[in-house]
Amino acid sequence: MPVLVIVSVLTFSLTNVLGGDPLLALLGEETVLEPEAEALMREELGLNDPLPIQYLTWAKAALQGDLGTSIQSGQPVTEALRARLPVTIQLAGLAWAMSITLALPLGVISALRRNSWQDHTATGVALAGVATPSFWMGLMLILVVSVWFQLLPPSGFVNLWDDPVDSLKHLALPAITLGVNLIGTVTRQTRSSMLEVLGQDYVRTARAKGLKERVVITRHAMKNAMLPVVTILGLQFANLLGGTVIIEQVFAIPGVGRLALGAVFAQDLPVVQGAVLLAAVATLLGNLWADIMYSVFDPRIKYN
Amino acid sequence: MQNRRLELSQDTSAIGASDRPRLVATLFRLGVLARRHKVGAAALGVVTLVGVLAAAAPLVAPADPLIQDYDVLLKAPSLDHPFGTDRVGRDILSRVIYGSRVSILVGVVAVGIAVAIGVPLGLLSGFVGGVFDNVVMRFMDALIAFPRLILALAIVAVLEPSLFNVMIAVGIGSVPVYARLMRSQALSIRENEYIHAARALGMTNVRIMFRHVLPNAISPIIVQTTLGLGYAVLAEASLGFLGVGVQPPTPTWGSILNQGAPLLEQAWWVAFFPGVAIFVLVLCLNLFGDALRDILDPRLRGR
Repeated sequence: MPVLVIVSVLTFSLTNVLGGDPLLALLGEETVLEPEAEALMREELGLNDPLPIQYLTWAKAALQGDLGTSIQSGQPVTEALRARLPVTIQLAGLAWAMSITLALPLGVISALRRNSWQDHTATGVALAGVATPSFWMGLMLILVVSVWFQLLPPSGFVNLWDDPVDSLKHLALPAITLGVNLIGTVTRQTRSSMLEVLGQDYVRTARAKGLKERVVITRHAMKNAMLPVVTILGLQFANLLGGTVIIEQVFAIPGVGRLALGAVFAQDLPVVQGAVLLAAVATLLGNLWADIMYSVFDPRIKYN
Repeated sequence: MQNRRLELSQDTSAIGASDRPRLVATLFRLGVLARRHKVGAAALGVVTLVGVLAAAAPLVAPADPLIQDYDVLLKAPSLDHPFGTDRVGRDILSRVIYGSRVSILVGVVAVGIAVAIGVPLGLLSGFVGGVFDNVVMRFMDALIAFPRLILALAIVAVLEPSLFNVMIAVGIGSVPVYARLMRSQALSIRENEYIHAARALGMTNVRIMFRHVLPNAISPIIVQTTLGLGYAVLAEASLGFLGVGVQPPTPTWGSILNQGAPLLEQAWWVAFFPGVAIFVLVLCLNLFGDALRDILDPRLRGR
């Protein structure tokens, strides 16, 4: 909770303190007002109030779902965000799910067959995944898959509920691109924590008492190796969201990231502010998810 | 570079006053390390090479990265232009070589900013504890809640895209990484007996922090710095690609890619080569960081 308050203060000061004169941002540099009109507008917008009061007014409105109106379109920021959010959630959700389903087996196999060719391949893929600039990989995928072989559409978005097959066709490349860094990170973390757990006494005990290897791996080793992996998954959620800004740009997907980038170029600060706040709240939810998952994997961890 | 400095500091006590044997011993040790960590040594070699290319860009680049040659618009890679040319006939190879300057400069300064703010904060937090620790750490929690790229984007948007602001934007987002790391180190180190001993000897807190806690916590910070450089290079390129990084005409890897994106179908090489450059540099920084961690923290060897 205190974190959320600081987050909101930071978001507020980002635009209202760093950003210079909000009236100038609202009207644009060219507009010249009569001094009386300017004073009146300042009074009406509450710009004469001390900053802490301005913050409280803003925070109160934000809590009620009012993040101001877009300077560019005149649309309420909340509405604009709400319209774009499902798109970004589908993209990020698919990328996240894909990363988990690919990275966990890769990491586990890698650890079980340490120093085999499978391990070297997986480790290599993971390293490359972490170092690949996602926007570059996106462009190359478009070039090879969409332009040269014409297998999948290069851009655009179709809602999952409208046409699942077409939607997946449009989302496949963006989701792979968005997930590539996450796959690398999670594979490395899974491998490393599996290796650590496999060396523990209780794994040897489990083997010694004659349990099937499959049971030892899944019930004893994996369950315990998952804690750090879950932490990484929770923490990386923020990076995934950051990545959507780039990926939505590369693949022309009309999500929150594209809205935010457009707002950055148009100096539409209320929208920038709203998108930043949304991203931060989503990140906190990602961390909350990780905390909840801890107690699933390790019942000794309890929260009040 | 970093591991050489570390080696030197260890050697001072081990070997006598004369400089020559010390140097020989250091080189010998480095040789042993390099042989044991072939990949890490090779990665360091590549990183050094990129650094040298960046520094010597005017000497090694085959052409001026800004000169437009309308006779060779969008030419595919050839002997004259190994990486091809762009929409206005500029040599991509030269642009990529010059682009490394921005990448390295932003990387080093951004990480420097993050370390300069994060490490002292974390050190104080972990060592002093109490209310100060609580306040600083909640602040870091909040800062880390902003996806780093979105935070950087917003900062650059509010200020305005320039070299300096990109450095700030990339650096600020990484402060919590170093603050948290340093704090956790300080927390465990301050319980050691030699800290109690130092206190019993009447050392001041400041002296204990800088003479005992900081030196003992430095290895993970160095490793994180190397990995952080890779992140900063990626972040700078991302901002450049989105068009909010260092502004044209200065060539940066991200901005060359940005210009190449719409030309993908007719001229893939414009976007291809700067991407390879980013990939290679980040990969080598990560590989070097991993090797460094193996050397400095033997517990993690092979993981």
